[in-house]
This record gives sequence, C-alpha cells and structure tokens, in this order.
Amino acid sequence: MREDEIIKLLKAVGVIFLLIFCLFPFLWMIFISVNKNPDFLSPQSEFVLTFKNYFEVATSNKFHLWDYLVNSLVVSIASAILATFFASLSAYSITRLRFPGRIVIPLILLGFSMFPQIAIVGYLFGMITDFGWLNTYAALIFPYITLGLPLALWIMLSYFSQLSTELDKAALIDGASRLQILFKVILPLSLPALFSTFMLTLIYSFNEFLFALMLTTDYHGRTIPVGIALFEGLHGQIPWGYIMAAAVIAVIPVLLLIALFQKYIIQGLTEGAVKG
Amino acid sequence: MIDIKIKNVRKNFFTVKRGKVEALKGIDLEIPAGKFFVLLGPSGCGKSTLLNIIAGIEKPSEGEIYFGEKLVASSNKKIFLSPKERDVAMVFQSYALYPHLSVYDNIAFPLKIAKLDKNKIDRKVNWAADILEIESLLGAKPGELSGGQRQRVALGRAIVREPNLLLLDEPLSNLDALLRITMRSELRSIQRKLELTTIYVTHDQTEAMSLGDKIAVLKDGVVQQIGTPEEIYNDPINLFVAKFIGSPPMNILDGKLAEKINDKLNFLKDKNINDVVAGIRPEKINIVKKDEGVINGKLKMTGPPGGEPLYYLEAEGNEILAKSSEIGNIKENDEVGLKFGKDDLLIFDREN
Ligand SMILES: Nc1ncnc2c1ncn2[C@@H]1O[C@H](COP(=O)(O)OP(=O)(O)OP(=O)(O)O)[C@@H](O)[C@H]1O
Ligand SMILES: [Mg+2]
Repeated sequence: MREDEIIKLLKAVGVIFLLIFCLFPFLWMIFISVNKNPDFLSPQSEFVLTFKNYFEVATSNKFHLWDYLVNSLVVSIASAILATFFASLSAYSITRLRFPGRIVIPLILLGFSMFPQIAIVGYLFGMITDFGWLNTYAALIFPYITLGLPLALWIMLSYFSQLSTELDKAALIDGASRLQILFKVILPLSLPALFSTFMLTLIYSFNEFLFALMLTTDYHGRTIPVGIALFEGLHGQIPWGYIMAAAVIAVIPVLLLIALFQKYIIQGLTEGAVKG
Repeated sequence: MIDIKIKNVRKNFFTVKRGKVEALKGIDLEIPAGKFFVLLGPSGCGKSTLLNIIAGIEKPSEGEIYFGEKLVASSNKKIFLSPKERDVAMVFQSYALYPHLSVYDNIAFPLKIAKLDKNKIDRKVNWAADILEIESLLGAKPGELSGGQRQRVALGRAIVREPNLLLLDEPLSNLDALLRITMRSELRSIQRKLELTTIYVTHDQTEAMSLGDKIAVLKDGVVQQIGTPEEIYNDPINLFVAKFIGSPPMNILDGKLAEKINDKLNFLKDKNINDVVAGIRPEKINIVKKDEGVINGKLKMTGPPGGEPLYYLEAEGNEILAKSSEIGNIKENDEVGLKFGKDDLLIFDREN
C-alpha cells in the first residue's frame, strides 16, 4: 500500500508541476490582458479588471486583428492540407512501391528539416520577390508546405508501414489502380494519422514567425504572430495589454480545432509510434 | 473457365540479410480448365509466391505463364499483365476485407471499380450473398463478423466478378477444425456449381486430398509430384511426398529390413542397401499372432481411447504404426506378427 501511495503522490506532483509549467505563461497572458495598467515585466502596482484591451483590439481598425487571423487561418490550413496530401502520396509510394532511393528519401528530407531557417531566408526573400508573391498567401503557403513536409511524411510513413499490404494486394486483385487503392482503402483507414499530421503541420504554420516577418509587408498578407509583434503603442511604449488580448483571441481557433480532433490525434500519434 | 500453363517459372528475392533467396526454382504446371487444383507443401516452400505470380501481384524472375492461349507473363518478352487484365480473383489467408466498408460494399468493391451500374451491382451482390448464405450480414462491418462469416464474405468478393480464375491462399487455416470441414465441402460445391478454374494453396495434406481434382506437391521451390489424390497417395514419387501425405503418416523401414521382406530389392543391384528405405501405409498392416505375419514386432502402445485404434509397434529397430488387429486383446509388450502384402511396400531413395 505504501508504495502505491508514493506512486500516486509522485503522479499528482508531476501532473501539477506540468500543468503549472505549461499553463502559467498562458494564465499570465490572460492576467495581463485584463489588467488596466498592463506591464509584462515590472511588478503590478495594482490590479484593476477591465475588458478594454479586448474591446479595442477586436473593434479598432488600426489593429487589423481579424485580417491577421484570417490570413493565418488561410495560410496554415492550406499549407497543412497540402503538406498532408503530398506526405500521403509519398508515404504510400515509399511503403508500397519498389523504386531506387526509397530508403534514403525520408532521411534526406529529415536532414533538410534540420537546416536552420535563418540560413535560407535571404535567398527565399529574393525568390519570392522575383515571383512577385511578396505579401501574398502563396509567399507563405509554399515555404510552409516545405517546412511541414518532413514531419508529415514521417508520421504517415510510420502509419502506412504498419498497415498490412494484404489489403493493397486485395484491392489490386479487385482491379483498383494504385491511386484508387490510396483513396478508397488506405486513406479511409488512416484518418487518425491524417488528423494528427494535419493538426501538427497546421500549428507549426500558425506559429511560424521568421518567414512571415520577412515575406509579408502589411495586413494583406501578414499572419497573426507577426501582426501582434508589430503592434504599436503610444510614445513607443510596448502595448502589452493589446498584445496579450490579441494573443488570447488568436489561440481560440486552434484550441477549438484541437478539441474537435483531440481523440483522433492522440490515437494517431501513439498508433504510429508504438506498433511501428 | 480457362486453363493455365506455367512454364519454367523462377523467382528470386534479393534481401539485405539473406542475400539471394530462390523461392521458385523452375516450376512447370498445367492447370486444367474448370478443375480444382491444389498446391500443397510445407511452410516456406514457395506456394504463396507462385500464387502471387499467377495472380499478377509479383513478377516472375524467369519463365512464362499462359491463360488459355494468352501469354500473361513472360520475362523474356517483357510481358506482365496486371491482375485486372488477367481477370483473376483471390481469397487471402487473412481475408483482407476492407475494414471500413460494410459487407455489401466489400463484395461490391470490384464491381464498383469496374464501374458497373448500380442495379447490376445490386443484382450480383445479392446473387453471391445468396450462394454463400450471408444475405443477413450485408449491413455489417467485417469487424463484427466471426471467422467463418468473414471467410464467406471474402469468397463472395471473389466470386461476384465471375472471374477467369479463382485463387485461394490457405483460406481455411484461421478457422476452427469443425468449421474448416464444413467450409471445405461448401467451397467444393460452389466451385463445382460455378465451374471455376481454381488454384488452392494449403500446407494441410488432408485438405488437399479431400478438395483437389489434382494436386501438385511442392518442396523448396521445386514441384515434387503432380497427380490426382489417389495417385499421390498410392504411388508417391519420393520419400518426401510419401511422408508428407497421409495421416497417420507412412511407416518408414530401413533398407536392411526392407531387403529381408521384399525381394524386389534384389533387383536394385546398383543400390547400396543403406541408400534405400521402404514405406508402408499404416492401414495396410494387420496385426496377427506371432510368426504368422511377414515380420515380428512388439506392441509399445495403443491409442487413442475412443477414436479409431492405432497400434504403435517396434520391429528390428523400426517404429511402425498399424491400424488394425486380428487379435482381440493385446497388451503392451506382447510379441505379435505384422501381416501385409509385399507389394504394398514402396521403395525410396533415402534422403539426407
Ligand atoms: N518479399 C519477399 N522477400 C524476400 N523473401 C521472400 C519474400 N516473399 C517470400 N520470400 C521467401 O520465399 C520463400 C517462399 O515463401 P512463400 O511465402 O511463398 O512460402 P509459402 O509456401 O507460402 O509458406 P507458408 O505456408 O508459410 O505461407 C520463403 O523462403 C520466403 O522467406
Ligand atoms: Mg503462404
């Protein structure tokens, strides 16, 4: 019994620590966003509850909060869908077809994903400018697909490689083409992996800062992390209240999506990892 | 209905760990139209590989395959038709039903791929479900079904297209003993009714003997013998086939004992006695009183209680099984005689 109790205690302490560790910045963010005299770093002189920050950020035209949010959602959803789609296609061919290099391609891709982003940003800027894409959705969607693809491919690979190839053979015998097999048999069975891949790449794109900062110039293309970071206050002060309020609002759509797919995501991650 | 010819088919796999694996080493077979043909052999002998090559899932490394007059695979002429073009259906050991589709949609899957119209699909699915008596299951998902039911659905998906050729890869091995026997006879009657050319893979010799019009026995990627069940049972071509076919298995007597019993051996002048063995089926041996049989032996054990009697004997260092006894009441360690026709003794080269 004693051992049981100790384990229980350790679990409780662990969970509490983890919760505080993860949630504290978020709670601090909410706390500042509803404070009348917001200051991020210095000790709070007095706390006065107000929703003014939220109201102004949401309604005033100069913040463009809703423009940024829409940009972010469009860019990250589009890039997540495309990354997941291309990852499925490549994972299917790598796990099911025999062609030279199918072992090294995922490794090369993994290597690319370790390449520091900052090292290519200058060249990328030049390229996007040449394309005339600066400050458009395309300027972010295509780089984000590239960034998300290695992770997406590896998740899909581990999932597909544990699906029995007998189903593929059966469908082949039933007269289906490779693409038909992918879309009618394999993908419907891979919904958990698809959801987790989609969500992870989406969150990645949603939070990305460096490329978004370099490749967009105003609210027509700017995404929310950059938009918020560039909020301007009076007399050059940093408007912590607005920043925090906007950040809280920005988290909501992602939170909703995760809540919606949570069941599938966890299932997908463990299934891909444990059995593979 | 179509006949299949397989000419000198070889298959090599190249693996990182084992290097070159010769799964098939020159297979020649002719499968007559409308017949039930069984590929029989121990695990790993290449049965599934051969079936996959016939189906068009794997390419042969060498050799040719004809469906009727049509060449469907040839390594020299670089011909390789897809399963679709060959019009074959296959039932897998694991059934390989689509888990996300209902039974109806599973059976309809090949028809939908072939873009048949809805009414026709409906008619065909119901026809197959009727033959297999699974009408009541059409709405269920494969996960809800028992092994026997899944097996029927897999068979339904195969026959619904009325294919040229039906391929079955150990379709009954996941079922319990009783169901296996009923499914066996059902399979046979469906095959007869539809007159489908069928190739059936199994490692179970009882299954092969009771199902096959013709059997090919395989070992290590080589065909050992082709024949009707009777031919293979009564006249096995070598020791491997002799031992593999029959339950309980054939008795093997060493060359010295064989020579003593059977003067046939005297004609095999060029053979050393140590290089040959003799085989005799347990049911050909009758236990009689001592000195009244061909040889004498000692009873070691009888069994099993309740079932058909089996006598475990020993004669001159050879273990022998017999199935019948003239002596009413024999006990362990009794000295008895073993009676059989000398012509029932089959002589084989000893194998390493
Ligand atoms: N894809 C493959 N890569 C490498 N070797 C293979 C491959 N498929 C089969 N083999 C090898 O070929 C040989 C024959 O395999 P096969 O699956 O045809 O045997 P089988 O007779 O069907 O056995 P079982 O009764 O166990 O199903 C085996 O040695 C097997 O290891
Ligand atoms: Mg097999």
